[in-house]
Amino acid sequence: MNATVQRVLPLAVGIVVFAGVTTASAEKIRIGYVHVFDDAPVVIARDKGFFASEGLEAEVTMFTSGPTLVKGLVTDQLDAGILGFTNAITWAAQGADLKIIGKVQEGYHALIVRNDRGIRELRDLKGKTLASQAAGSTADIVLKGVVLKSAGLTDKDVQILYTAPSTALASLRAGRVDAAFLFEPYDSIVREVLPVTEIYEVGKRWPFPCMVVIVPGKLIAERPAAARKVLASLKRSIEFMKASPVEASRLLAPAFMPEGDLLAEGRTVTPQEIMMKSLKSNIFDWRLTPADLKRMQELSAVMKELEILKQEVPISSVVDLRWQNELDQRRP
Amino acid sequence: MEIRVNAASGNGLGKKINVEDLTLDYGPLRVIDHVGFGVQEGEFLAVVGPSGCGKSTLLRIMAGLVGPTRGRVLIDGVEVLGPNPRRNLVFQDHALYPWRTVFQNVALGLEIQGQSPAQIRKRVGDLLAAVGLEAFAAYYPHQLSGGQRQRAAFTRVLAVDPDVLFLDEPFGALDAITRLILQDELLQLWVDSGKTVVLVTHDVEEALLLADRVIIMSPLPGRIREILPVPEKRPRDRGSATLASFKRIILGILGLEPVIGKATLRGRDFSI
Amino acid sequence: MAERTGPAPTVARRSASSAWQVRAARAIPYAVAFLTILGGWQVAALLFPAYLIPSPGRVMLRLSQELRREAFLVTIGRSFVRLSIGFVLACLLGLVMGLVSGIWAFFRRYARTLVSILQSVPPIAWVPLFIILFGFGDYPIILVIIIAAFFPMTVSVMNAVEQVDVLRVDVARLLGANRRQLITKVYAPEVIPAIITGAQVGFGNAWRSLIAAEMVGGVNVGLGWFINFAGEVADMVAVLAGIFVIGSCSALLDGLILERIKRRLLRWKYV
Repeated sequence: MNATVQRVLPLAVGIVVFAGVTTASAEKIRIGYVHVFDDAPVVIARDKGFFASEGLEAEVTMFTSGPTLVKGLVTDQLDAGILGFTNAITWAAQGADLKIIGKVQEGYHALIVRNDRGIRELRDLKGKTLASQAAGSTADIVLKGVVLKSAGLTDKDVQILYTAPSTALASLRAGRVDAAFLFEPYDSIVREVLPVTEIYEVGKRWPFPCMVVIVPGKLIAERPAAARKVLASLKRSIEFMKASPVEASRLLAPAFMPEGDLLAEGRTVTPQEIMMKSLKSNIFDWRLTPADLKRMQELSAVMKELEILKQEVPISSVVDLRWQNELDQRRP
Repeated sequence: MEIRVNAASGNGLGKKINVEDLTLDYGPLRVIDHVGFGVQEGEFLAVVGPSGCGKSTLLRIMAGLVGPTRGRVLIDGVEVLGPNPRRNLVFQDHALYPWRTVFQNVALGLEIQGQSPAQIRKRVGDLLAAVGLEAFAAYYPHQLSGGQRQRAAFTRVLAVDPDVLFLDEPFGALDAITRLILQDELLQLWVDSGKTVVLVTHDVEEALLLADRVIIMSPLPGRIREILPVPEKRPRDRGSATLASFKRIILGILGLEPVIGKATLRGRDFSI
Repeated sequence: MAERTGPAPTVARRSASSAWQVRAARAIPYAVAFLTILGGWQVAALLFPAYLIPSPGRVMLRLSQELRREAFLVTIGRSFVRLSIGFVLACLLGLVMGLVSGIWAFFRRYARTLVSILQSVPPIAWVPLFIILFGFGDYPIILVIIIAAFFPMTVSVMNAVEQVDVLRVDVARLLGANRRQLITKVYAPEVIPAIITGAQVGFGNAWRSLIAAEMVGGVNVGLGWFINFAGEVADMVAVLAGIFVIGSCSALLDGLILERIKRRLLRWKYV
């Protein structure tokens, strides 16, 4: 070989490789989340650039419910989703290849009743109407299999009506329903505008992991590093929300209370106040603990009771905590 | 009996029907212009003229379906303000209701009057038998021939026993042979019943075969040109020379035949 | 003793067997259409994983199981109750509006404008509003069905009344009919074919909006709700079973009931 080429070639190769490495460092990923306050960390991660800082070029899509989102995961239209964990179980039971790799939030659902309906405890819900979220969602399963069950009630004893949370709120205000099963920020909002009482809150009585990170097996097989990066972004997001709640509230207000100020009993409540309250009610954590896994197994049994599953699904087959453990070990 | 004939608004000594100075405008268009004449009880009157002369409209006004712009029609001395079953009209289009059988169509007027099913059954049965349609009583109009349909339409009208019959080109939609047959039947009906008949037709021969008098109308606006008696005794021969010359007179009045000579009728001269 | 020459006539026997052949020949296009859909479904089931598109066999099996469960029959029954009430009310409303429009010019213009404005809103878009106004349950669904189904009826009847042969009206007037008799003896029978076409189109709308409204929310029983819930819990077999029920019910109701009614009312045409 020519002497000039001998000197130029390694340099040329080096430039090409360098160029390749730098352009490859922004990894494309399609992330879905449910448009509920429970998934606030995703909004923060997107808006504060935490995905980007982990080297992810994230295409974030909002969904109205977990069951809708998970369909994107099983049809190879999404690479990762942050949603209620039962969705992974129902589809895994049918043969889909999904894995839960980390947590985002612990379940917070309040059973709110109007003061004028004579409901003091869960048992009084018999024969009453209750507005709840999407049928078949994690919240719905917990409502039927845990909350109502604890009072000896089934979904035949209570008239459950499935609707969007904003409609549930409006119906409660209009007196069309006696009670509603709400999460944030609707829970905080309704307390401001209506005389209501919380007679039960799931997170307090029966803590369980609610929003988790679910990825299709394909992602794990083809680019496992992306899984870790998603978890890392969300971890930073959760830590930020804990450290700077005021700034977090400011960022979340336009997403979860776009209608602006709330008019209640002659005073105005700003969206940020509501966001602060919602942040306080919720527990955001990125670690799935052994207790969490135990709860998930219990809920799997509940789903079998409710005839949503034909048989129980062993949680170990749906959970893969490798990247969570990696992140855990890297903690300062 | 002397019948005075005037070219413009003719006044007859009408006892049954009196048409007094009738005018009808459709907006700026004058359709009928100062038409007046009388009809005797039991008379058979024909109105002929080309299309657009308003003869059908005239009939509709006389039957009370349309109101005139000016003038009025009196029947039995009473002004006509709306339709009345006793002065009924047969249209060129049979207008039978396709969802009713022949029997039910003929029964329509009697139903409207509130007669009992038993009464209706008897009367309609008799009527259908009289015109030879009893075998088709349960048939629907679309299963009948044109002539049978028109017979049924006639029978429908006759069921309510009108004493005045207005006929608006009743045989215009039928083939030539059927037309001849029904003309004979109509004549017989008139002879047997003594009803007052006003027939509107564009068929001059038909008018001459059937009518006592013929009113000739000219179009745009519709006016009476002449009222001609037809003094020929019945039964009349369609092919007779008398009828032929009457026809020439009428066509001549309407300006539809080249003038080849002159004819005199009751002391008046006509070009023919 | 009469002599027989040639074979005995077989005309009677031949026409009996051809009646069967004619019926079979008429049924063939339907059968082929059905098989095409079934075939397409089977192919899709082979191409996609079972948890996304289960095979027709599995779905039929599940359907036969569901049909033995009381809960499923109750759910279908509820849908039918809603459909019947909504559809019948829609037909009546459409009929009255159409008839009045035909006779009264002012109302005709009013109804036409109303129809054209409201028609642009898809019926199920009303569901959230109705839930808030009338509460949960059957009322919003029935209202949506009425809105969806009465428009075709009104328009169809309105047009028919406008196109009534004036001559037939004149005939009745000449026979002495009063206003009420004109309506019952001329206008009403005139518009029956239009009522039926209106009803058939409206039925399709009613059925579709029933299922859609049940899926949108505000109920916890019904075929639409069943399918929606099944979809949420990854039970695609149930989803397809529900869709199959929808398709067959619609075809059966239209073919067996509506078509029969049409033939009865329009007997005179088919004689």
